[in-house]
Amino acid sequence: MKASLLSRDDHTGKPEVRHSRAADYTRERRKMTTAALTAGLERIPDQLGYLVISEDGVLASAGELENDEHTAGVMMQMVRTASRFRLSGAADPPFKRMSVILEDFVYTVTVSGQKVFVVKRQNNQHEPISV
Amino acid sequence: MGCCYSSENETPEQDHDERKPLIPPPVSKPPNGTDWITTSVPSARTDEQALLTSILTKTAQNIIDVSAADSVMMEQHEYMDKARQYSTKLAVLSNSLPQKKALALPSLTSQPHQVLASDLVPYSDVQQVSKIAAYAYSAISQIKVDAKEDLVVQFAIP
Repeated sequence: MKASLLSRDDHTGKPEVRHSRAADYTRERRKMTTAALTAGLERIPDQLGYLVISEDGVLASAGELENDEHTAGVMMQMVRTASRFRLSGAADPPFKRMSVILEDFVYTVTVSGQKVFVVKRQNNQHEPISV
Repeated sequence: MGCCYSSENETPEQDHDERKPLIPPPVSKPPNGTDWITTSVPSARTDEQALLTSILTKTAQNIIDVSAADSVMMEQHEYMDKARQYSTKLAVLSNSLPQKKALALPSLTSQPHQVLASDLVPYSDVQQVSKIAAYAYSAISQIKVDAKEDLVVQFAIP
């Protein structure tokens, strides 16, 4: 059974900080930031793989999603469609994370700084067994 | 991509120079190094020859042989003039065209790994949403036309 859910959970405590940019500084910073972010993704508990995707293509991939351009393409399309939803009158997309829930695993997807992050995680949410 | 604009009325003064093709259309010049066999083909090899000729004609029609075409001799300044002329025209036109909307993905969060690492959606929520979707689906599939009267009636003309 497939289910795709958008969650509004706000996990940020820090306000968003805007940086001023010069062209090459941005490029260096982007390279640096991607590496820092993939390290963060590696540490996600029960993760089976991840993808970092930009408008140009896959920036990084690992685990079961290594070199998985097909999944990258599908996730990009899904999140692009989902981010066009608006609750009536709102300016921003009404969700922070998109989850594509399958039998044994879940793809969690979010967008930050023009990059799409996809993490494949073990699905530990099953029918509760009443003993 | 395709034709963006075309018009019936020609403006003779401008068009002539603007629309003149840079590579003149090939004047049925035989491609380099091949004989043009069109008539009196030996009957024994007719089929094969006909096939080859048809391939040749199709290729000649579809492919522009740049080396065979007479090269257009343009002075450097003429070339620069043309380039400048085209770019000014483009600039004028692009100002009047509506700007393409930015297709950038809106940022959903500034803390991606926190958001991605947090708890998965509880199973009960997934169940509830699936049930709601199933109800909606069944409701939509039951939408039907309830025919009450005839669509076609006779006018009663006394």
